Amino acid sequence: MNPLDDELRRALRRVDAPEGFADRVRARIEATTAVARVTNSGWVKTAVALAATLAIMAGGTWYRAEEQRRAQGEEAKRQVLLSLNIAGNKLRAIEMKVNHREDR
Amino acid sequence: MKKIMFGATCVLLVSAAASAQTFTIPERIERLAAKARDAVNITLDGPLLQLASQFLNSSNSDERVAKDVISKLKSIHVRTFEFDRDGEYSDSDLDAIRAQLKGPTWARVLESKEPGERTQIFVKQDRNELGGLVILAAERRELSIVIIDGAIDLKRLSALSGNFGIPKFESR
Repeated sequence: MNPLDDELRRALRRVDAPEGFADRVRARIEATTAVARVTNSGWVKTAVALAATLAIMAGGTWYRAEEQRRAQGEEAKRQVLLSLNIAGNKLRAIEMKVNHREDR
Repeated sequence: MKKIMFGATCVLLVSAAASAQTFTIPERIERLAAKARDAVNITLDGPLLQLASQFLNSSNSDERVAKDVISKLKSIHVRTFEFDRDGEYSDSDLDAIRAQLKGPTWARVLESKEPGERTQIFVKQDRNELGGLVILAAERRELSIVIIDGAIDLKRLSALSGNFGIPKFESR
């Protein structure tokens, strides 16, 4: 016999399980199955799907509202700049006309 | 004493009514757009001016000035019409606007009449500052109405023309 055979025999010798080991294993399996039953039940899946749908819808609504606000803001800005441009040009044109008349 | 109280109440009511004035553009003016070759129709009230202000970029010098100018404004109305023919509108079309400028706070500061042309500028005196500006410029084929309600600096407004990269508005 070589020393490796002895070592293997020692390592693989039959050892009895501690007392109550089988009961503890069964209890743990039962507990795990119960949790799995809850997480896999229909209403949890439905609730998760509903929450995800609501979150997506809320995000979409917010994004659309923000886009609309941005478009309105850009349009309002364009109108403000155009208004001030027209008003300023009219004032300058009137001023020039009045000055020109006074010079004559 | 009662007479004094009544008088004070009247003064307060008149000044409150003057400060709360909102302009209406007459329907016959709005209808001119259908006859015009080119028309501009802008109405900006307080909330829209505030919204525009949020989108004006303070790091751009022109937009910063515009932002500052509109910060004290209550409303802006602009109507311009360019026609292909003479006689598409009459001077009386503007009477309904002139009627809104007859309060104690409004004063006509310029009246210019030439054949086929009439220009009027009205300003609103609000305490010791300019509280509003109305320009009515009528030419044979062009009509411009600018109503700016709120504290405004005419020099800054005049200096703004032709800026912002907007194609220059042609005014003869």
